[in-house]
Amino acid sequence: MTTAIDLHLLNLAVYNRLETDAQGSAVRAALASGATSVIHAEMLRTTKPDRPFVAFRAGAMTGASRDVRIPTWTWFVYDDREKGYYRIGSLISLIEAAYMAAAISVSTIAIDRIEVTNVGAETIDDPLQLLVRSIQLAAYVL
Amino acid sequence: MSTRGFEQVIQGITDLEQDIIEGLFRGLVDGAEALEADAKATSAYSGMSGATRASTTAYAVGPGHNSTSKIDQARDTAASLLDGFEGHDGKPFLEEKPGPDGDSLMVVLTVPTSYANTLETARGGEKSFIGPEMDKHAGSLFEAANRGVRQVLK
Repeated sequence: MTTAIDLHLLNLAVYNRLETDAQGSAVRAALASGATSVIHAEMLRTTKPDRPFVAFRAGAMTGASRDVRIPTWTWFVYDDREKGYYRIGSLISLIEAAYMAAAISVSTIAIDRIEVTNVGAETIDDPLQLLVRSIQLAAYVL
Repeated sequence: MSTRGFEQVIQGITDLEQDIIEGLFRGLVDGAEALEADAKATSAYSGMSGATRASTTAYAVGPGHNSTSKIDQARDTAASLLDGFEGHDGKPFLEEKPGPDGDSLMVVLTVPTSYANTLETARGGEKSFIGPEMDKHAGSLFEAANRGVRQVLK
C-alpha cells in the first residue's frame, strides 16, 4: 500500500451497494420503504424507520500502511419483535449476495474483494425495542 | 539409523510441536493483556456504575489452559460494583460457551454483565467496543502469537 486510503469514498461505495446500486435492488425490495430504509446507524439516535430497515456503521481498519489494509463495516438489520427473525434472516442472505454479485469499485483504491466476516446472534435492541442481527463485512485493500 | 534413534527423532518433533503450541499460547496471553488494556480504556461509552470498564477482561484459552480464575475474578468485580447500584438493573452474568476444539487456541474479550450484549448492539452498535477492539487487535494478536513461537525457536 503506497497511497492513503480515502475512507469517505470507500465507505460511500460500500453503503451505496445497498442504497442505490443495482446489485442491492433485492435488498431494497425486501425493506419496508426501499432506499429510504437504508440509513446510517447514527440516525437511530433520532429516528426509528418503518421495519424492516438496515443501519450502516463503519468499523475499524486494521493493517499497517504498507500491508494489506482491512477496513470493516457492519449492517444492522432490524425488524419488529412480533415478526420474529424470519425477515431478518432473509435480508442477511440478500445483503451477502449483493456484495458477492460484483466487486466494489472506487477510483484510486484497489479492493481485492469484500467478504462477510461475521453474522451476529439474534438479539434485541433494548432502547429501540426491535429485533436486530448484524452482518459484518471486511475488504482487502491492496 | 537405529530404531531407538528414530524414536528419539519422533519424540523430539512431538516435543517441539508442544513447545510451539505453548509458545503460541504465551504470545496470545501477552496479546490478550494489550487487548484488555485498550478495551478498558475505550471511549465508546461513558458508563454509569463503572462495572463494564472494571470487569472487561481478555484472556487466551487452549489445551490445558482454561479461563476460570480470570472470568470469575471479572464477574466478582462486576458484582461488587453492581451490588446496591440503582442506576439500572444490570447484574453480573456468565454464560458458558464452547471452548476451542483440539489443539486450537482462542482469545476471548468479554464483559460478564447482563447488559453487555445490549451495549454491543443498541442503536446500531452506538456504544459497541468488544467487536471493534477485537477487529482492531486481530493483527497484533497474530503478531503476538508469532513472537511466542520465535521465542521457542531461537
